[in-house]
Amino acid sequence: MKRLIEKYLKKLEQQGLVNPKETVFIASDDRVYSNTRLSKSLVTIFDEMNINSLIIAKPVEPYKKIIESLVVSKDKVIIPQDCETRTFFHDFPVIEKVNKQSIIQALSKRKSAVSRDGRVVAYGMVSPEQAYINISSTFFSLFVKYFVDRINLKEAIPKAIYNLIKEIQPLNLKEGSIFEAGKALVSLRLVDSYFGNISFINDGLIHISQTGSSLDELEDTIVTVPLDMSSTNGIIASSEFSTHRSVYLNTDFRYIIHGHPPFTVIQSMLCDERDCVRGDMCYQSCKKERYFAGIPIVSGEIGTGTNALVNTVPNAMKQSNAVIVYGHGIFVASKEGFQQCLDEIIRIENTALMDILRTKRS
Amino acid sequence: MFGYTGKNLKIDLTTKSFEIFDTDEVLCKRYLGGRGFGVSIISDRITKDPFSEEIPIIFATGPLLATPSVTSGRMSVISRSPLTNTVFDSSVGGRFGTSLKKAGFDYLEIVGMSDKWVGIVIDGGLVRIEDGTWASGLNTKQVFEHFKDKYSTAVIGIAGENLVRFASIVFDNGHYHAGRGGLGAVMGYKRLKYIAVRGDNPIQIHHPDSLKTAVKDVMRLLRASPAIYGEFGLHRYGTACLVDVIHAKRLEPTENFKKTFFEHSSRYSAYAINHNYKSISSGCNGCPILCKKTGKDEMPIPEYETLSHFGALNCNYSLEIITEANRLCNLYGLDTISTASTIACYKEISGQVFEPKGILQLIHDIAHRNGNLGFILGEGSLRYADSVGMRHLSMSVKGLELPAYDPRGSYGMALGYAVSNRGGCHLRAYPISHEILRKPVATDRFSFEGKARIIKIAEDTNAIIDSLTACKFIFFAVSLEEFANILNAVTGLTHNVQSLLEIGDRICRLERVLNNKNGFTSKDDDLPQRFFEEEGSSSKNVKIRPINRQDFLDARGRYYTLRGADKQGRIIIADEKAH
Repeated sequence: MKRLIEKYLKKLEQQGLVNPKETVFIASDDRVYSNTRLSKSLVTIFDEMNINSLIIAKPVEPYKKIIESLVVSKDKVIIPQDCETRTFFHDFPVIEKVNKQSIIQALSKRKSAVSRDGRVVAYGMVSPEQAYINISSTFFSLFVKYFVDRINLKEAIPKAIYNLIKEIQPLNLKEGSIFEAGKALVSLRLVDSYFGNISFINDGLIHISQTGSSLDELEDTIVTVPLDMSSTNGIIASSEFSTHRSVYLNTDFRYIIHGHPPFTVIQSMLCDERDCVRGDMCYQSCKKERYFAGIPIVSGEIGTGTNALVNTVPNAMKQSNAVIVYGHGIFVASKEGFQQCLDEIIRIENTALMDILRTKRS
Repeated sequence: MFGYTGKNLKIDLTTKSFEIFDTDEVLCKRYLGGRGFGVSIISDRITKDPFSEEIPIIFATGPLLATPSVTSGRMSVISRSPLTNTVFDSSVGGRFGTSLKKAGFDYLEIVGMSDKWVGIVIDGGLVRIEDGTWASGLNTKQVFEHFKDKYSTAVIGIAGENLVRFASIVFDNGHYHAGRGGLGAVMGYKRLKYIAVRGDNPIQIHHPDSLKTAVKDVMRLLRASPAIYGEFGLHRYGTACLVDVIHAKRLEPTENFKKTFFEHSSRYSAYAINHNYKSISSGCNGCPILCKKTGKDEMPIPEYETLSHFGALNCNYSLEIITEANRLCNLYGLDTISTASTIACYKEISGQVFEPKGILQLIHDIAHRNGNLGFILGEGSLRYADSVGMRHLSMSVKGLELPAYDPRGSYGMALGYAVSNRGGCHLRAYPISHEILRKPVATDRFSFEGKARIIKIAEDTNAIIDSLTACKFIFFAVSLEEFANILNAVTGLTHNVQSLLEIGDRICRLERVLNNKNGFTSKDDDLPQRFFEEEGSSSKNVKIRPINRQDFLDARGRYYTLRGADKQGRIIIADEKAH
């Protein structure tokens, strides 16, 4: 347990989300383990909650200012509109104080919660990794919500925040392997926690990251699935396998990266359309042809179903090497290799970032 | 009472009488429904012999059944198992539960023993115990044909009549089963051949709009799940989708668990099945997953456990033989896992090599208890192996034959099998979900680290699912968080994840208390020694080592601590008031 706590604390730090020294990470099997000395009430929280792990995270900048700004209002719940919140979190309760009772109350209903002092709490039911994923994704959703709300309300981005945000520097892959590309996506923060996926096709076989795999730890988590579906091994493939397969069937691309670059996601959610009959259902379908930096923006939910991105992304990729999915992320494909995918995803994210910082700052 | 009918039916087959009485609100509060109801109701009679008049068999519905909730078309059958002697519940799909509830009953309890074969017909609020001698000796299909689709029916086959200790109860044209633990034999002992039920009373829902929203949240998660709606998932292929991945991970029980890899399993994989049979999807009432697959003439296509155990476990790669074995088990009313495993045990002990067709003859002999061999195999693998001094070659826990996941390739499964209250069962904690299918997150399948708590929480969760009564498959995609909202919308209660898990823990502890009363201790929470001594089928990339005995015992000790049990696996503070 100690080993897992250290591993995921380090990941949170590498993602630029928290300072491990100001974060409490607790995990339990039959007894409680932690990275720090715990108060009695926190030790006993596991007696009252059937959970495996708990994180109380104090964000570092720019997340600190962003989350503090989101909890200023008296709202008791924060409801971001991005895909991760909609699908997995539903909403984030706001707790007045971080104490045992408020944590139990909030986390008995939701996977994570935000406190008025800007801290974020989340739990894992199965493993410490799950608590890590919940914290990391909560940060992502709150980050996206902050920018989307500000821009929609035509409020300027404070200097104190935009000064903290930097362009992504290009990165050359040495070998261009799937493992190296996965690590690059994580180190450049183009994916959050374990979301995002990556694949290539060779000789009728699709090699794709498994569902719930960390893209910087792909060595044992690539699954090979025949394009002709003659094996059901793919049941453990990424939830976007069908989209990857459909792209390979309908185009000449041989490499695909799906990432969640935050500013690209934010851009996808900015729409000037007024009196739109879709209301807040843009993630399901949109009749308007939308582009950002020449890249099509499509609707689509995760996985399968009538409104799923498996029905929108492959079509758009017949005309474009990249497609942005509303409130979700981006698919980038190449015929040559992962370097081209990486270059393109960086280009689009930097364009998105610069557009927001240049035009929306105070 | 929103979500409940408020009425129950108790039938005494000895006196041929019945009574209708109110549902106890405290029972609903403390045990929810389904499995929870059953273990609470049976608790004061659990020391009675499974083959006795006193032991009840209970058919219990849950608060979500017959409502627009997702995958809530299930129910539980509960009694004491003649195979394991433990308290035993079996979750079953189809439409029987829905019909029973719509007929006006939260649960049906049957006690006593008839002097001749009878059937029970419940037609709305009307109850009839009728002569069933016409059905005695008939296979399940023949009885289903008698009732056609006018009723939902629960039937035992010849195996149940002959008290085969792993006889099943077959529901709704042979597509659904209370498969495990010999509950069909409990019905057989009572000389109850069938129960037919129908009804059309609506169930009151507290807040329909909230229910719609909660269902929408669940559907979104289902569509995002590769295991459910993915191109290889349950919706498309049924549980046969597991054949390839279990094979690739080398935890495929082969030759009575001597090996963990069968090179011919692609012959009966989901792809092969799809190629050979044009299958049609169907499912329980109100289920969008539709995991049941049927071929021509509504022939049920075998599920994963059946494919693997009549396949790899018996060194048979003929899909035709597997399909026929499945058909026979359905007709005779036999649990396919225990049947296949008992045959594999017999093959290993006797050293006999027989053609795949020999499997079919043995199924016939077991169901009819033909000759000495048919009789002793009908007692299950443990009693059979014990009778020839080879107890260690029964691949079972507490006498319940192990399903198609080798514990050497899934340490959570090793612990889950061992501590399961109903014996060697994969469904109590289903660690395959995270150890193999990577949901909700992946865990290290070759480590016991953290597994005690994981198994404990998963058992509590599954006890809730069985009590709601929902389907475990849906929990590949959703969590109790979403189901608490569904339950609250239906009943008007104010549950959350933790309050539900408290009920789950109460159910699991009560089951353990009941087993303790029947003498079960840590000596029974153990795996066959093969798994600690013999290596599985390793490859260049994956080593399938014997499980380290001490690591296993340490993990089991941690589980006992979390469950509130002593070192012998006995609950220290029992929940004295069952309901």
